[in-house]
Amino acid sequence: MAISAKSIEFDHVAPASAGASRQERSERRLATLLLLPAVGFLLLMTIFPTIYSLWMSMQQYNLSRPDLATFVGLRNYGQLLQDDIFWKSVRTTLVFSLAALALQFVFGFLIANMFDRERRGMSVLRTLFIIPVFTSPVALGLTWRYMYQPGYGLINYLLEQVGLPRINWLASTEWALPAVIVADVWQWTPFVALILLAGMQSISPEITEAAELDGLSRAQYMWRIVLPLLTPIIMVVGLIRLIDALKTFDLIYIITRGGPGTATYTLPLHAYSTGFASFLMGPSAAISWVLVIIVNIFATLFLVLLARGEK
Amino acid sequence: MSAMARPGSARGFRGGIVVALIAGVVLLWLFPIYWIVLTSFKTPRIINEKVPVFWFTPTMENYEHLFGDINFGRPLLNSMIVTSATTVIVIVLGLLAAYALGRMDVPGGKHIALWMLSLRFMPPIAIVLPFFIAWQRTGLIDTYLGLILVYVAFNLPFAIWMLRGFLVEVPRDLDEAAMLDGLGHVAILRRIIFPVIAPGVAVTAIFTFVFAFNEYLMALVLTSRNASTVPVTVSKFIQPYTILWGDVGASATIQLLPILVVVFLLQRHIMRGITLGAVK
Amino acid sequence: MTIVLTDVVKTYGAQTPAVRGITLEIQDGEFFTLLGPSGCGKTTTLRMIAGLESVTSGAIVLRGRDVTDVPARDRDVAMVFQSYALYPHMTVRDNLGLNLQVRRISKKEVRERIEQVARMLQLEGLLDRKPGQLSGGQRQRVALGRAVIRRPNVFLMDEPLSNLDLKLREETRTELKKLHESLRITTVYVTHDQSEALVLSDRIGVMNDGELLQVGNPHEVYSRPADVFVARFIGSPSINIFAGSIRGNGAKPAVEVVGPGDGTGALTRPIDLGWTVTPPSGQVLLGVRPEDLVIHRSAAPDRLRAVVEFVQPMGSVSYAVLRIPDGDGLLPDREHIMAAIGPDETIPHGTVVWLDIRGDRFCLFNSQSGMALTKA
Repeated sequence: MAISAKSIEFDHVAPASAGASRQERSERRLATLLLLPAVGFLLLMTIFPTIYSLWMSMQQYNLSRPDLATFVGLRNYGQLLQDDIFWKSVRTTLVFSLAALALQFVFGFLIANMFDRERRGMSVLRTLFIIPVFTSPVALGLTWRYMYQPGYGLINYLLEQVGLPRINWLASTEWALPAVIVADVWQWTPFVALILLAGMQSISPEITEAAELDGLSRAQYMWRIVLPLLTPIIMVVGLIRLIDALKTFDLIYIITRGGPGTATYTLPLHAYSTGFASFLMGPSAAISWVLVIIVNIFATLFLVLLARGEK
Repeated sequence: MSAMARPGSARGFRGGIVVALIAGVVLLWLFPIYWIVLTSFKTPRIINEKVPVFWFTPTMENYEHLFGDINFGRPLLNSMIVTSATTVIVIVLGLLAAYALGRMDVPGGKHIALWMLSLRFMPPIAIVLPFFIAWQRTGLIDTYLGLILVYVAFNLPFAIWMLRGFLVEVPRDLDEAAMLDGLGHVAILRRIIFPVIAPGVAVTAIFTFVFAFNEYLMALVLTSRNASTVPVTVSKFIQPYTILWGDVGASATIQLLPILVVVFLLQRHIMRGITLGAVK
Repeated sequence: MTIVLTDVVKTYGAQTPAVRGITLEIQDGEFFTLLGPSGCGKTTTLRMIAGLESVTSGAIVLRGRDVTDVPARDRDVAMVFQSYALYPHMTVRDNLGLNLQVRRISKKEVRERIEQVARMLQLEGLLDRKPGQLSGGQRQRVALGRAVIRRPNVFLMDEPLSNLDLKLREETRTELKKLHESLRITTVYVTHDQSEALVLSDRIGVMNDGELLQVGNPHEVYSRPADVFVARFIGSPSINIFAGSIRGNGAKPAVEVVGPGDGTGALTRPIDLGWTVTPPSGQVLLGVRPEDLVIHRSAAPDRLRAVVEFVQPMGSVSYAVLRIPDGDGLLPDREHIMAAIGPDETIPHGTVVWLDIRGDRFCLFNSQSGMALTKA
């Protein structure tokens, strides 16, 4: 009895000291094995196109005659700098993205604030509200386009009913961009609102009660307690939304095709039509890379701000 | 238990007004969806009416046209095949990687997770061209496989990030308790971890499915006839001199149905899925 | 009178009420504790005084003003939360000063009051830190400071010490007492820890099941509990309860707890004729605190036979844990009896001892209702 107990103890103790690291090593091997398919696939699928597109942005390249491709260095970029349409599309991209982002946050915050109460029926309303996020940009782009129709569109009809003049939304250089922004705000405000709501609800009820006993009004509570506590969330969601807005292609392409003229021509649309309508592959890649740079500037900016906020 | 009162949210009637107000906002917000669904049951004459028509005799004409002349069944099938395959592959690869990143000690795991997140920064427009050229040369253009590969690449990082979030939330105590109960690695996975994160997997699958199903730019460039998807087909309802509004409405309604069902079945989990990553 | 509660009821939906009609007056400058087990309604009562919870019926008056429907922020009450509820994004300074800022008190005065409170609570070096950088005890002091700085009508404290470890809790308890002695601000304190209540309070209100069972100073609730529940809840180790009966015995009635069988003796004590509410059955419950139960080694007429199970040393005192063989019916409460003995006294397991009551230090309860039988 005593011997067997001792041998069990040995069995247990002896490998435990040396085996800890062996066990760790085998776990690492397993982890690497599990990661390999995903990481390998992603490397393959992202590194090649990235390098290829960077290379192409320095080529003069015609789709029909790939054999005639010639290296032109930064000439494509240099030409962009002198291209008015390019500069205008940079401006349009920024206006579209920042305006959409700002509106999504203003509406999102107001709506989240309204949702932030314990009442019957709230969860059903929240669920309904989420639907636009999941709808197809093509389908809902067309839906908005339908509503923007000058002759039989619902929006002009409503304008007329309240005594305002009809507007030819998508044919107006003034109104086309706001019209597209509205559609984007419509689709993504629910996303922002529901994340802000989750943030608000993660604030401990006791903090809220302490604020109430400290005599804060609802507005003071929002401004001095909720907003500062939500800052990290706002930064993260802001970054996600801003980057997605900068990349937006489908919604704008469906509603206006970049028109009228170049009124809603953003960088993705500009790159698309330069490449697939004018078949200027080099310049098209160069435009995309300017977009990549802009996206990364914003991403870095946000991450720096976020890191500073956390300190 | 305690009826929490946030500052300024007075008890009683004001609460009722707020609910009514929110209900109003939500219904107004969803009006465009209601309007396009309504349109799908209108005849062309009613659609082009100058005064919007809310009450009319519904017709199935648009749906008949959609599945008849336009042969919408084909792109619908294409989309289902591409999207389902994408979802399955993404979930399988994603679960493996997320498990390693979320519950195991991986050298450089944090960097890998960040790298995956940073893939989001890459605009699709910047890499669609290389894929177009490469797929043309390899014969993957206008095939299911060509599109599936691209969609997996686009959705995998996000899926891994989400699944990792769900896996991290499962307390390690649970594994350890199961280990002490004598369960092996596989048994722990199958009987403890998977059941706990199943809703998270479902939500990730839905996000992947929806975003792949709705994707437009890649499908537009990489498919033409054989593998054309629903969004590409719908975008072709914009014709030089007219837009087939009835077909737009009918196709939008068909796409909306599964979304509605899923959103309501999994509402709580979807809320969590959306907020994961941002709130944490 | 600072706080007056009149028949205050709180009901959640269709459930049984959480608070069933509490009437209570708390004096100016008093340290009043609501004591009871979890779920007894003490926190709900506190939150109703704060205005964080609506009142289903009844009225709450603070300093002569009916505040029943006044929102929390207009009641001028300060509260220390169990979790402290410090604003995580603000420095200690801002946490302390927020209320004063909101009330538009001059910057200079805010600064002065922050300094003063920081001195009083030893927070001087911590003013520019955020709550996340503080220890549990420091956080607790900031939470206290946030209440003190306001010089409010009323302090409300919801188990403010329960997140501290034992030693720190006892130290802070003393600090709290000192603070109250110097400020004399009316304080309502909620706890489930009876020793905390006894140490801190001017008066204690014992609650159970949404009802206020007894209000009295620490000595009263300890030595003259209003019913069996209060008797059991207060004091540690808790009171011994015996099933006894009233014996007429002519002009000299007595209470007795008779042992189970020949030669097992009985606890007997004469009682005054003045005892009211004698139940017709003659059945009563007899409560004796462990320190009032005396152990003898020899038998005598008025002693009850018991057997020692083991001895529990507690440092300054030890407790003998005793059993009465076949005495199940005698102990409606639990199987064991506890009696205090000297700290270095040891009694071997199985020793037969004889129990007696110290003088008249016992209480009697109606065996059905559990209410105390009191002298007229």
